[in-house]
Formats: sequence, C-alpha cells, structure tokens
Amino acid sequence: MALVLEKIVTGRFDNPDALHIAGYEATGGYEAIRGLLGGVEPADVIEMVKSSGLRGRGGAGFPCGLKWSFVPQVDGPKYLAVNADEGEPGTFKDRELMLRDPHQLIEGILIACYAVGIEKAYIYIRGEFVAPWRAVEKALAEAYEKGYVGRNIMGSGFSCDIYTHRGAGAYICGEETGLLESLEGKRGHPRLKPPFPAVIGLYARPTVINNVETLANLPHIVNKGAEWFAGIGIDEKNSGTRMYCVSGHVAKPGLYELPLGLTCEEMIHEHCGGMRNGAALKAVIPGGASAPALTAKEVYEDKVKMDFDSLAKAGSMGGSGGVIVMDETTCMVQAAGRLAAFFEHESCGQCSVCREGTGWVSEILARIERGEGVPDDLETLASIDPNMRGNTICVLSDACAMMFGAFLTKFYDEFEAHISLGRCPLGSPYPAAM
Amino acid sequence: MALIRFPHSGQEERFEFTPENRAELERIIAKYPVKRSALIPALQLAQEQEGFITSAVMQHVAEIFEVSPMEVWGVVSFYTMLKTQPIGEYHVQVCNNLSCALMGAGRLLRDIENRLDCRVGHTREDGKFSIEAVECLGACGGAPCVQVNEHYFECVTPEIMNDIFGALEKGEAVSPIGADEVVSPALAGAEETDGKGQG
Repeated sequence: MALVLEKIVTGRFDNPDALHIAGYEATGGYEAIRGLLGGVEPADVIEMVKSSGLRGRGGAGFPCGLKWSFVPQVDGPKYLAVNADEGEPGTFKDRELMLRDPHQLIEGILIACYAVGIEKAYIYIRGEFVAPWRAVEKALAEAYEKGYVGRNIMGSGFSCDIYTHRGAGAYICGEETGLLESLEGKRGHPRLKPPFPAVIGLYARPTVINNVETLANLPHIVNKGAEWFAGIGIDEKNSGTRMYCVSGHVAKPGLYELPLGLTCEEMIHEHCGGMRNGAALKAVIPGGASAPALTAKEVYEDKVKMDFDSLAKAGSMGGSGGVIVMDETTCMVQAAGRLAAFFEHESCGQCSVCREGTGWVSEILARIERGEGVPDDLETLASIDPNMRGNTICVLSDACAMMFGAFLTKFYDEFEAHISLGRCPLGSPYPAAM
Repeated sequence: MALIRFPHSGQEERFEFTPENRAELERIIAKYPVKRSALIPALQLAQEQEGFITSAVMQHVAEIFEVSPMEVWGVVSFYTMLKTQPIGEYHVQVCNNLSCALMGAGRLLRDIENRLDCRVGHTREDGKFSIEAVECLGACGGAPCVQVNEHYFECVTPEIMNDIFGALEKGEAVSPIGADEVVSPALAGAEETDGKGQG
C-alpha cells in the first residue's frame, strides 16, 4: 500500500489568514467542535479517537483515546494540561503549530475537554517561546470573544476555560508529572507513578496531559472521520502523519509533515534534498535526543521505517519526531558527549542514579574526546549503562543511557580510536563546537 | 544541575510590585484554583520589573504566597530563566545543543564573544549585552539559532549577528529571523510590547 502524502496539521501553514479567527473559520475552523456540541456524546468522541489510532506525538506514543479513557468519571474538577514545553533536542514542531495555526490547537483542546468532561485547560508553554505564547494568547482572546471558549459554548451548556502558563526554563518540565509540579508552582520534580495523572494529577485531581501536535490532529479526525485518519500511515497502530523535525547535515533542514511508515532513507533523500554537500551519512537520531541513534547500515540496508513500532523494533523510538542527521565528518564521541552534557544539565537531581550518572557519563565522554581517555573508560561506561535504566522516578536517566549506549555499541571503534590515538581520529571540523 | 548559593541579602532595598504589576499578578492568580500556581509567574513579573531576582524579591513573593523564602529560593534555583544576577539590556542566548553544534554553533559563539567583547556567562561592563550558552531552544531546523531577549534569530552567521548587534548598538529596530517573523514585533525602537502579560 502506498502511503498517502497528505498534510493534516500543517495544512494552514502557508495561509497567514488562518492566524486570525476569521481566516481559521473560513477554512472550516471550529466546525468540528460545533458538530460535537450539536449532539455527539462525549463517550463517542473517545471511541472515535481510539479507533483513529492516534498516538501521542510528544514522546511516548501512547494511544490518545486510551489515555482519555483512564480518567475516572467522578464529580469535581478535572483538568487538561497541554504539553507545549517543547525542549527535546532536535524538536521544533509545537513552536510552529502555535505560531502558525493557534486556533487549530484551541479547537483540539476543546474537543479533548468535551470528550473527557473537562472545564479547565492549561497550556504549559516553554518560557523561551515568547512569540508562540503571544500567538496563542491572541488567538485565545479572539476565541473567547466569539464564544468558542468560556461559559456555555455555542449555547450547548458545555463550558471550558483555557489559559496559558509560561515555563521558566527546565527540560524536565516536559515530563508530564514534572510539568504538573511546575504548574503547581514548584520545582519541576517528576512524581512517582502510579498513581498516574489520569487519576491523581494537577491539584490531585484527574488530569489529561496531551502534546500540542496530538491535540492539533483532533479537529481533522472529527471532521473527516477516524477511518480516514487510520487510512493514512502504515497500519492502524501507526496512523496519520507526524511532523518530522529534520535538522543537521541534510540539504534542506526543516519541518516535514509526512505519513507514518516512510523509511528514514526516503525522508532524507526524497523529502529533505539528500545529504548536505553530498557527504556520506553516518548516523541519524530518529526521535529526539533520547532516541538511540541509527547507523547508515540501518538506514540504507535495513531500511528502517520512521513509524512508532518500526523504530521500536529497531531498538530506537519515534519519540518527539526530532530527526538529527549526522554526516561522516561528525565525531560520535563528541556528539554523545554533547548530549550527555545536556542530560547532566537537565537532570532534576532527585534520584542519585540520574544526578550522578549523567554527570559521570558526561565527564568520561568529554575526557575521551579530549584524548585523555584511559582504556578502562569504555568498560566503566558500559557498566554505568544498565544501572541508569529502570532505577529512577522518571525516564531522563534511561534516555541518557539509551543515547550513549547506542553510540558506544554502534561506534565502538571510534571510541577506542580516541583512547588509543589520544586524540579525535577525525580531526573533527567542529572543534569545541559541542 | 548546578549548586547555586542563595543571593547575598546585604543592604537591599525592600521590593514591592508596581501597582500595575500587582494588579497583573492578581489577574494571574485568578486563573488558578490554587494560588501557589502563580508563584513562578509572580517571579517572572518581578524579574521583568527588577531585571533579576533579588533576595528582597524572594522575601516579598514568599509573603504573598505564604511560604518560606527558602521555598521560593528552591523554585528560583531550579529554573534557568529566573536570574539571580543582573543580565544585559540585550541577553544573547546561543544554543549549543547537538543540532546547532553540527551547524557551527561553537564557532558562532566564539565570534559573538569577540564581537561583543564579552565572555560567555558574563554581562558586559556597560550592561548592554550578556551572553549565555544554552541548551536546545527548539528551533533546530533553523540551526544555528540565537535568541536575543524574546526574539529568535534562525540560520544565523557571524555576519548576520554582526549586523544585528550593530543595529542594537545604534538603537535601531531589529526584527526576528525565522518562524517568529509571523507574529513578533521588532526589538528596540518599536513601541513597548504587551510582554507583561505572563499568560
């Protein structure tokens, strides 16, 4: 089956009028929520999203409808926290979704809130994103004025308030329970799970946490149907499109909305203009910094596909959709070291395994890169790896281990060469760049 | 994670929000069923007013939210955008995460240091510029990316940054480059933006 090349969530990106509510309405905007409020049962909306196969676009790829169905139907307030704390290195889609089509996000939020019976939603936007926050605030003001948001929406009896909340600079607040802590005005320390946020979340109330891109898909699923959505992509569990954020050494870096199930090779060579300067590919990080890197062999010979399940089978993950492409001139020790330094910086410090582990890994990798590594370093790294997996409150530690574990096993020779030569064998063209 | 000390609390003046900011804070507090959720927005507002977060700010915010100053300090020290030292009129944040590094962010950072005669992690003596190397800014398709105050500048070169700094030095307006262009007003020279909103 050939994959359908259809733009869903980026469909209005070339239409600057859609920034304003009139332009959004002119392209079918707010019709989806209007239709639902006209008499569709919330439970049927959850079923629709379940059968569409929509999976979370933030990182874990958890089925969206299933997540919603975990929320107990109890009295009292329930909340939606929109995860717009985009910070996974290599990822830049939510920023553009908020900048270029903020009403689409608002309509998606309304649909989620209606389905789950939520009357208050908070959009947690990373602090650096001032322009996107401003775009969303402006769109919200328009939507309030038109009566799409607020009390008794379109006379249906359904009420929903939507607020923005600005972050203050912490990657870990993109982790869903870290986000909740931060939204409660505290340090963004992730919570132990269970209980899951669906049951005990924001202010200890049932809470749904959805990514911006996930929500942006909802108006289209409601308008065109679950079957249509399920028909885009490779199978019913990997349906729809993804906003692939392609960066690094490709000829045309940028945002590409493509159906799930495309191979990594097709993405790079048919959509991103191939490798920059015709250089050879060395490694691809397929789903943000936490996703283990793929080698050129995996890309060209194994033809790894970029959907959730194919990447999982290849030992990596779809993650956040951040695709970082590295060519033959890139030093793998330096790349791993740069990312390890990132994880060290962003570890919240709660769990000693993560706090100390990320620091040790970062330090050892920096030492190897400087040419000061000792033979034992590789063994030490290998022994740190399993200890950093599955032993902490959240998965930041695991992410760091998966990252350097993949670099170390797949490019072992390069690490060894650094130690035996006492310098970078590549004479990296990016000295101290990282 | 780095250890930072509680800022020196010597002879600081007492901090009070301006009446406008105090009203803004009340508006923000009203958004949440639990007041404490407005603690970080309150700190952001205070930082906008004072330039950075002093111990007097933390004590005042602690009083408003009925928590201890150390509790507030715990929050302040966690978030990189909450500053306990003065930063420049123009705060230059150079992304040095992997995607930007692959596209020459390291070299770019050194060029910017030389151009501004200011080391990374420092504020220039005249208070005009400060430079910070930061983790992923979330604009990797436009690498290398630099953020000056609220504006993103994507796919920049030392030459482009030189022009931007030149304009800022002369007090001329500078517009963002990249996706921010869709909505952002120009930096400097333009009328005051409504950036006080804090959501």
